[in-house]
Amino acid sequence: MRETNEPLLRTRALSAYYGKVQALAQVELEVHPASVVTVIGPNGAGKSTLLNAIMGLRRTTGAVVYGGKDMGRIPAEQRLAHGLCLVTEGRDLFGTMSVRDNLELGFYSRRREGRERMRAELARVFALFPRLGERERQLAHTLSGGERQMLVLGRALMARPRLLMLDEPSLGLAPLVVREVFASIVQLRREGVAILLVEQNARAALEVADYGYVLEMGAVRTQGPAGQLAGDRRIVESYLGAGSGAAPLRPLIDAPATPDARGMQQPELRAA
Amino acid sequence: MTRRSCVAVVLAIAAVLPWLATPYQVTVLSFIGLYSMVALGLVLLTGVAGLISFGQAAFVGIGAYAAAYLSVALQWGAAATLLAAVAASSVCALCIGRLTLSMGGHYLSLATLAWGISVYYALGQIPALGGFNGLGGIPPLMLAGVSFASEVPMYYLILGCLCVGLVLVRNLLDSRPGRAIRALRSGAVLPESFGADTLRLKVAAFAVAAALAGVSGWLHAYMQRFVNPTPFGLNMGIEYLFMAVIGGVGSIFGAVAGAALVTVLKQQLQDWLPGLLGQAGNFEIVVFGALMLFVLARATGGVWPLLSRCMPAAPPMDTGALAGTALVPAQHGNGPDGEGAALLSVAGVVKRFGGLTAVDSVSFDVRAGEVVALLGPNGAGKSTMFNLVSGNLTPSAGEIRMRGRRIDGLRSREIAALGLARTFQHVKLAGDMSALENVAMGAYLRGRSGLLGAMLRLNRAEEAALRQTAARQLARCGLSECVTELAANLPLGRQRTLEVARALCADPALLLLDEPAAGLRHAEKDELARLLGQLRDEGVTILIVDHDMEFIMKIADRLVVMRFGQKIADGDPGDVRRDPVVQEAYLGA
Amino acid sequence: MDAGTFQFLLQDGITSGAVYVLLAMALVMVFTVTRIVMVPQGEFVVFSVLTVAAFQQGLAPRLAWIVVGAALVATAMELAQRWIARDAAGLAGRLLALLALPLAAAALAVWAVDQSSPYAWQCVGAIALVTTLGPPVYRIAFRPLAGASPLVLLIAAIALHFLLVGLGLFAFGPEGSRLPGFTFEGPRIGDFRVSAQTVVVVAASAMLIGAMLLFFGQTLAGKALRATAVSRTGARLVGISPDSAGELSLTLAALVGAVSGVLIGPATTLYYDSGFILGLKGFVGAIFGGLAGYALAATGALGVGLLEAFASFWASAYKEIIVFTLIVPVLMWRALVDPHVDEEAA
Repeated sequence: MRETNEPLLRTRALSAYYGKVQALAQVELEVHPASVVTVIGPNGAGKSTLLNAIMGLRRTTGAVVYGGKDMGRIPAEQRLAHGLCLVTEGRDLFGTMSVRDNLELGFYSRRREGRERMRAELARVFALFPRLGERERQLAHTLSGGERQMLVLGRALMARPRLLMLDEPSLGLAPLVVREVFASIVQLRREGVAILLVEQNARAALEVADYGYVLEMGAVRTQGPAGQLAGDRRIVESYLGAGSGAAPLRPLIDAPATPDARGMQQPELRAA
Repeated sequence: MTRRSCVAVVLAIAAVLPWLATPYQVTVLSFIGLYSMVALGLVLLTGVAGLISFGQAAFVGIGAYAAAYLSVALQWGAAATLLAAVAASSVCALCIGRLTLSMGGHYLSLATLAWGISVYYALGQIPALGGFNGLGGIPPLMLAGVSFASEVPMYYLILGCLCVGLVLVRNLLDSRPGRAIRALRSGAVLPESFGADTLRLKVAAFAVAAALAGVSGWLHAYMQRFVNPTPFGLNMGIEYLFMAVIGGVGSIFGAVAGAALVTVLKQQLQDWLPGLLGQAGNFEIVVFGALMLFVLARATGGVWPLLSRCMPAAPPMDTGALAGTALVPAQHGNGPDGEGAALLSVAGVVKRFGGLTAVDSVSFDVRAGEVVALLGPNGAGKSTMFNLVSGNLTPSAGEIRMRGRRIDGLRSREIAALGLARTFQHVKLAGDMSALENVAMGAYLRGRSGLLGAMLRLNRAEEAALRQTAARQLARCGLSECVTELAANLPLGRQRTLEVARALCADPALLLLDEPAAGLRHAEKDELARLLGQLRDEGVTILIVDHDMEFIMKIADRLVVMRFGQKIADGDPGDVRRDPVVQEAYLGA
Repeated sequence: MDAGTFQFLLQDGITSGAVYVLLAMALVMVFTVTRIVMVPQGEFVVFSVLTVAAFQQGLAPRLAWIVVGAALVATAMELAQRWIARDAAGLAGRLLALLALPLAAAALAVWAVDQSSPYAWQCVGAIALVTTLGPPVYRIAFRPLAGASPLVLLIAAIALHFLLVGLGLFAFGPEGSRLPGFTFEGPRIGDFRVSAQTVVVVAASAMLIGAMLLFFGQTLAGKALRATAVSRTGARLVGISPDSAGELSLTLAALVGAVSGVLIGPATTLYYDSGFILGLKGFVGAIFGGLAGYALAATGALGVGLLEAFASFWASAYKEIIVFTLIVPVLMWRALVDPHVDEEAA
């Protein structure tokens, strides 16, 4: 069907400024339904600014088209009702409120569906993140970094978004926890949620993504299918510098590789 | 038509007005002048230093009553009562300021509110001051044999005092202490980072504002020949703040614009409305309130910025005047401290925020003349470590020493005085000041001129030297063409370099650079690397955080890598980079 | 001072203190959600009292005309803005709050309440009128200043205060009014008889505070308000509109103010301009909690009431000076305990 070829999210010549300083330069990207797109790049590249711009938290020139609709006139707080959800690192949590309250507020945009529905969603989130269930009554600011990340992700899941934008979810997390988080990302994709993942951890990101963009100084430097990017030396260089002697990312993804027509090995996406 | 000639025209009009106006109108203009002086003080306090005060009317009252009492009861002459008025209000401000300015935000405004109410009631209760009936019979003002008893001479005196006040405040803002006061608006972190004592600065600004209010009170007393507590109560205190904000706290002329607009509006409403709507004394205040809301909604920055756009722009700073001698090098100097000595020593430092351990028992040294790079993925604790060293945070445990002396627990300005200068991850610049002025802030501790010297322009030699030093640092960092540009208009990369120039202006022994290369293009990074190399050769010790490995490899002598708050590597750059643990930390597992 | 006087002063202090507590909590609520220092909070109190007094005296409630006027102006502003932006989303809800409810309250006050109505019904009419003033006031005064600095918001609140005081003079005239006291017999504590006024005030305050706690603690709307106060961005990310939150908090403040008016009305004579000093005392209490904590704000406000009662006994002429000068050391202590945390991190 033609609709499935239409991207769920598309940005057109998206540019953003901090005063007179350009933070994003003519960014064009697409996210299709039920796919994982990642935006990677070094610090200060403008990745967070990009997500904030798509969510409507920053003033921009250019267009953000979601579900075929220009989001320009729609303020940030109304975008969630359309299914567009942004998950930042733990700083946008309601620190002085309990874990449960934070999750309940995630349901705010769906409050008309009633308390029963809310309780069901809560149960689902607690099943996904049992540690949150243990800390249900605790205040959010007493949680550790990893738990905060889980909470902020759980809060987003309460809203059942169609497009989930994640801003560096692996930040400050131990490798095991990162695996958990990324496993749930793959799970969400299977359930039909589209995901736009901004990450510094290029390895893990390219592992779960279908498509990737590399952002540098506010502009898209490279883009391509995730497997292709994984084999691209330039990414490694932009992180670790030229001549660092590090091998490209690809061999470090422990998935069986199948060579494609060009002889480049394409890893299969790991099934969670 | 230049801005200078614009100002001259306005002054000429002001000088000629009394001949065109009725005596009543001249009195109104005089009151505008009086109010402008108080509003000017508020522009300095609120617009520049970011402090909200409701109590300025109290200082006007102190000045007025000082003049009244001393001239009536003790028969002092006008010049003497002027000194007394200024002294009384300034001294009160110093005392009150010391007590209350250490409080932040709303505590402070309430304290000024309380102060305003208390003084009002006190003035009304003291019998010697005439109680609520007031004190009359103030003799006419005689200065140098000239009588200022009638409206027109008094108007000229007020106009003269207002102009003097404007010049003094402008001089102040354009000086070493002035730059530090202007930096207060962005918060305490920035001024403390280059060594300014924010409390003393706030108290100083408070005292200057009070002095201006005191002079206004002195003039008020001689103009009315009578004082009672009513004009010095909370209502007036609120109105002064009103005038300052409506006029625009961003500029000294906002004070005049605000005072004029509010006074004239109130007068006109009182004249027109009763005729229009029949009822006496009611609707002016309603219309007044509504108009003020309308003005605020249309122009949150006040009326002056709108007016200012109709005038020609101010001429750019004269860069030719930047020739001359620079400052002497700072005491802590930049010679090597004996090769191999540890300039900075971090031992077992821990920092916890609630449930989060941001820094977990980290130890490393930075030897004199070294460039050490602190690396790690996002969230590793590098910025926290920086803040611990510079004194913006206090460690939960552990010790930090600079030159053998413990600095953990010291305030950032005390550490700055020991020879540390830093830049910030989130750029901290005064956006409304030029690049040169921002950089000159860095040399704060190398100057000595105080407020009085600044206001009276006695600091010209030092100011020239400070500017010359700033210009030199800008040139060194490749920013010569941006000298007169406003900091907010520079691209992010250049803003970061500007911070480096500011840090260099302090002639530091230890330089802390937080992601100086972020946002720079390749060529600019090369320039910066060269500059840092040069600094290292001159004996400056550098601790740098950055993510650009290529850049780091060009300048670092040693790498320290952090992850999850812990140190995972420390040593030669090549070795550290090949370390598989480090690679895993960066690229993920 | 003998025991009897002490108990009397204590009662006096607690009674007025309880009302200051309500004012303080309203101020904290509005400030935390919107960063506005609600200078005109006292006007809500005074408007409510004087409207009940108007009913009592058989006069038409002129506040109703002010409410209608405000509703029309706010609606006009809203329609104009939406016309320019070609945006009709949620218009029905907006019209309900800005136009329908105020008009309904005005109609109620003009046609359903008069001198012969029971006292309680008159109070309800006045409270309804003042409460529906909330959304139009927010729309007119504060919505256009959505992103402004706290200083500008403060000045706007002051301008609004002038506006409301002027309208108050128009609506109620310069004479003061005092509401009829409660005439039942209060309980005894020891050999001290608690006055009816105290019983009503303390009971009503406790109930109102209980209701607020319930609202903020148990309902999603209340949690949404709290969330907006904690993190504005976070609130937007979960779909809470900061403007709606602001409007709701202001309306709640108007409700609390209106109820406070009915409670304090019998205790003193209030004039059209008495609101400012009432709000100021509430503000002192609120500052005690750093404009952030409800419990401390309540403690502070109660303290102000007690201080005022005892100061008026010892030196009534200096009462105001004592209260306001003693604030300074208390503030200093508070500022020491809660050190000024810099909003920005390095």
